[in-house]
Amino acid sequence: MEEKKLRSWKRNYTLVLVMNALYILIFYFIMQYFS
Amino acid sequence: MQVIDWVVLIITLFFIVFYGAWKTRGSKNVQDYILGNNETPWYTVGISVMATQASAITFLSTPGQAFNDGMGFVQFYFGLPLAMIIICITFIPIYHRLKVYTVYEFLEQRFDLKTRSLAAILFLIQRGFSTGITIYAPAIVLSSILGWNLNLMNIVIGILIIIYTMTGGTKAVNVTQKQQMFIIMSGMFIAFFIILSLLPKEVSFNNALQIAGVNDKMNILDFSLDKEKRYTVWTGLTGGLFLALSYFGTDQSQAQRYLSGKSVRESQMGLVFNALLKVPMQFFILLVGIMVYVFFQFQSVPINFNPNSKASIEKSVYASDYKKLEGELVDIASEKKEVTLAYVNQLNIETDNKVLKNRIIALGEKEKTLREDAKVLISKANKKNKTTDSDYVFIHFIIHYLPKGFIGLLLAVIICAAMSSTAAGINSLASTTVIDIYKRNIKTEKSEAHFVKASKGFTLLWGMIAILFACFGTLFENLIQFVNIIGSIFYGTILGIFLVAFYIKYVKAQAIFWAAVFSQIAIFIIYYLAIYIFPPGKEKLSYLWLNFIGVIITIIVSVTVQYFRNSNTKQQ
Repeated sequence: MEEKKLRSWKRNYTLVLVMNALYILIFYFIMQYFS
Repeated sequence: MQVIDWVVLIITLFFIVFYGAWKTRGSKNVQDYILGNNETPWYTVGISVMATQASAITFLSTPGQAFNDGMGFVQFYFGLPLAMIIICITFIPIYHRLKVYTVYEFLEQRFDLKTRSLAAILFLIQRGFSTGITIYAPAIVLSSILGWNLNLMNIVIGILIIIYTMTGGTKAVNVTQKQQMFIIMSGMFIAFFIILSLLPKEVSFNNALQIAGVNDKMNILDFSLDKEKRYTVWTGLTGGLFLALSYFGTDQSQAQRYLSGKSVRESQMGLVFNALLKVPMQFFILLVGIMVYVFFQFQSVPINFNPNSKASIEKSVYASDYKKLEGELVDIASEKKEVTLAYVNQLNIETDNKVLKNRIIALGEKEKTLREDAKVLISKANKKNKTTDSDYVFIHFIIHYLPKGFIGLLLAVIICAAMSSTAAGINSLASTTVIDIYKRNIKTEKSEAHFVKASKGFTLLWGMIAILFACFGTLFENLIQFVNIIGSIFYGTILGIFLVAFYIKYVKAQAIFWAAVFSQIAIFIIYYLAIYIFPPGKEKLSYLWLNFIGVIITIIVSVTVQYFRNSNTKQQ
C-alpha cells in the first residue's frame, strides 16, 4: 500500500508530457515554415 | 576590454561569491552543510538543477553548434523530461523516505556496503576528472581570445568557487546558483536583442529566420532512422533518456540539489520545473547562435574562429595557401551579403525569389567547402591543432561586436556558468567522500562538528584537485573528449546498479556487486578493443554506446548470477 502511494502519477507529469509534445509540434511548424 | 567591462565583471563575480559565503555561513551540522537543512523550496531546487547542468561550455559551444550545424542539437534533450518523470516517481520518494545524504547510501540499504562503496568510488573518479574540466574548458577559450594567463584564470576561478562552497556547503551552492542563473539568462536575453538590433535595417526577425532557413540552419527535427546521424528525434528520446537518467538519478552532483528539497513534493516540483523549461532554454540558446550566424552573413568573419589554429598555420609552410582561402572567403562573403540583402528586399515585397535563394545556397556550399579546406590545412600544419572552432564563434561575437559594458556582462555569464557547475561538482565530491567513505568506513563515531569540519576540508581538497587538473589540462590533447569518455565508461555500470536496485527486487547484494565489477571490466576491454587502439575518427564504436552497454551488462549478469546462486542454494 505504502509502495503504491510512493509511486503515484501526478497531474504535473501529464503537464510535462503535454508541454514537451507541444514544443516538438511548435518546432515542427517552425521547421516547415522556415526550412 | 574597457574599464567598464572590468567593473561589471569584477562586481558581478565578487558580489555573488561574497554574498553567497556571508548569507550561508555557520553550518552547525552535517544535514545543514550537505542538505541545506532540507529547507530548499522547489523553485530553488529547479534553478539549481538547471544551473548545475549548464556549464560554461554550454554557453560557449551551443551557439557555435547552431552556427555550424543548425538547430538540430535541441533533439538531444527530448529524453530529459521523460527521465525527470521517472526520477520523480521512483527515485525521489525512496531517497527521501530513507533520508539519505548521498544516493550511494541507498545502495547499502538495498544491497550492501561494498556495492555502495563501489558506486561511490566510480562516481568520485568520474566526477573528479570532469570538475577540473568545467574550470579548464572556458579558461582555455577565454585565455586564447583575451590573452589572459590560462593558469592564473584557473586559479582565480577555482579559488572564488572554493570560498563560498567551503563556507556554506549546499546552501551556498543553491543560493549562488539562483543569482548565477539570473545573470546567465539576463545576459543571454540581452545578447539576443543586441544581435537583432545590429542586423541591417531591412532585416527583421522573421527575415533572419528565413535567411537561416535558406542556409539549412532551421532543420530542427530529424525523424530519420539513419544510424550515422548523431542527433535525431529517436536518438534524443532513447539516448537522451538514458543519459539524463544516469546524470540526474545517480550522479550526486545533481541528486544533492533535489535531496536538499523541503519535502518529496518540493524536490519533485523542482525536477518538473527543469522538465518544463530545459527544452525551451536549449532552443533559445541555439536561437542565439542562429542569430549570430545571420548577423555574420553581413560581416567579414574569419575562416576559422580558433585564434590558436590561425597562429599555428601562419608559422607553417601552409600560410600562403591559407591566406588564399581567406581571400576566396572574403569574395564569397561579399557576394553572399549582397545576394542575401537582395533576397530580403524581395521577401519584404512578398516575393520568394527562387533564383536568389538558389544563389545563396550555392554560395553557402562554396563557403562550407572553403571552411573544410581550411580545417584540412590547419590539421596538416600541426596534427595536434584542433580544427573544430564552434567553441570560439560566440566569444568572437561577444568580443568584437558587443557594446562596452556588455562584454563584461557576457564574460560574467560564462564565468558564472563555470562556477555554478564546478561548485556543485566539488560540493558533491566532498559530500560523497565524507558520507560514503570517511564517515562510513574510517571515522564512524565522531561529533557533528567534526564531520562539518571534514566536509569543509574535503571541499577544499577537491577544489584544489580541480584547479590542479585544470592547470595540467594542456597536457592532454583532447581533454573534453577524454572526460566524456571517462564519464561514459563509468555511467553505464552506475546506472545499471541503480536500475536493478529500483526495479529488479529479485537481484540481491552479491549478484549485483559481481555483475558491476564484471560490467566495469568488460567496458574497459570493449573500450580498449573497439575505441582506444583505433585512430580518432576510425573507432569501431562511438563511446556514447558504452553507457548503454554498461547498463545492459550489469542487468543481465546480475540476474544470471542471482539465478545460479538461487539454484545452488536450492540444491544445498
